[in-house]
Amino acid sequence: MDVNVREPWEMHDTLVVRPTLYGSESAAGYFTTFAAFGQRNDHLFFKRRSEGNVHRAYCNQQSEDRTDFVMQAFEVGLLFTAPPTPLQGSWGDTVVNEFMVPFWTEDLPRHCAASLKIGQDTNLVLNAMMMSPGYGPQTSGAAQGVDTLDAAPPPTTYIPEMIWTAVQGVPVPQSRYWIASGGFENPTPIGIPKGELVELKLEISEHARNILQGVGGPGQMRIGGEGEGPSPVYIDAQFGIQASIWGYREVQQRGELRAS
Amino acid sequence: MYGQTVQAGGEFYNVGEEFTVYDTIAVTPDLDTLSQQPPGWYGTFAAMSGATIHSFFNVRNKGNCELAYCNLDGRDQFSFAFQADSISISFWGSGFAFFDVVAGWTRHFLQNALWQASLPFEASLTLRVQQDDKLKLNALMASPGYGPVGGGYGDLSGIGEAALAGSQHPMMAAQTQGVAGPMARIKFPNRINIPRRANVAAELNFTQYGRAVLTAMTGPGIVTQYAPNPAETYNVPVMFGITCALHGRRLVQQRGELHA
Repeated sequence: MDVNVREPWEMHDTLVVRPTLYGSESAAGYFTTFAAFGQRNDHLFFKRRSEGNVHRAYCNQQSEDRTDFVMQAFEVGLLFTAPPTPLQGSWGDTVVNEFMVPFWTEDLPRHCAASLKIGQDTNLVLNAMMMSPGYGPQTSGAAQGVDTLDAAPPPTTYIPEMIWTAVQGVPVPQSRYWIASGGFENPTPIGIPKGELVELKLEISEHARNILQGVGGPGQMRIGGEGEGPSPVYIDAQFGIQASIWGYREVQQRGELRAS
Repeated sequence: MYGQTVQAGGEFYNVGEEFTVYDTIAVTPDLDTLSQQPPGWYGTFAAMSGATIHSFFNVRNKGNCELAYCNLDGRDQFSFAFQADSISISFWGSGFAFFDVVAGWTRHFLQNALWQASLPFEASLTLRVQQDDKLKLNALMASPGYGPVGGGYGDLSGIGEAALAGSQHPMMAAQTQGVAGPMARIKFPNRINIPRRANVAAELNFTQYGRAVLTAMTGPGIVTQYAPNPAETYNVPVMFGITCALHGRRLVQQRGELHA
């Protein structure tokens, strides 16, 4: 008799906006500018990426548009992630578009609808901010006054320093959006058959699309280069959205544990 | 019983699905340029202060307001039976808490804090189902249970910013009401059952002081950022909003079974 066993599992898929794409990411529907990202009304997850065309950190699906196994889904989450500093430049050392990091993590989710569709059924339609991921960075700190290096003229370049991170909801698993019926006391998860179509669709409002198409970037983050030290290094700023579904997968029984 | 199937009549059965119903009013300077202006939205805080009552769940639907802000099918009737466990109201602004009222002028910083920290206390929230008032709260008591969480540190040198017209030191904020997790929501001691096609209204009524604060809050404003062509700038409109949500489960026809 075939027996499936349950294993704790989550499935995730990620959309990335970054000036430079690596490997086969160009085939995965990733974007290099906010403007290109904002030209589309909606973005789909669990539809076109797999372990084959993006890194496993971004997507752990073996099939692009079908579930790999039976999944019992309890929770769903959506993480809007941005670089840890709002200060980025696209053109030399000019610090520009400091609006976009807080916009991406704190405003954009308010201006998106997220709907979860399994097979032909739309199980959930939600404002994306309500779909807390249940994980994410948490930062605190302090700093002192004004950097005296400000006063130095170029090429001893001045840049303000600022670290800022934000996440949607308290980054603990209990914050994730609960989709199993029956509540925590008597949960009945949503059953997703093997080979089923799963879609999480993000619809962006016109207000937010206008902003995304109106601004430049993402830019680059500058690392070091102040004072008498070595020349600065630049690295792309990466913005992303990661969808995740949490619960159990049902797979064939593994070998038994033998402790003797 | 939590999660129990509910007999709708004859051999037909409805099942409970975890669901959230939400509706939003907003204040945004780009209201006139959007392709549709949802009813009950405003272009300025001053205009909003003129209304004595702001109503949710009986003004907007998916047709006259985008899905990110409202997921109601019917404008003034619930399209399914709903068992409400809790109500929440979220006053939200922008993560970038520092904006211009007029391009190139000194940025204002207090509107964001007044909107999210002070105004919820200056409003009553009444939930009405059909002819019955089910709940009368101070709006600050109905914590949303979601929202951004952030933190950071920095050294806010200003000179690097001087290259951007109208720009001053950036100021980030992550604000919401209560802890941004579902555990922060108030729970109804007894579930509120809302029949299909019922009229539901959540009404927000500001105090006189609250309306005076709104009148004094010049704006909302804009944030000047670089456009994709760095020779140009783009004035990002900042939107403020209030989202009211009912959390619980909807009763819908049974979905297809899971076949593994």
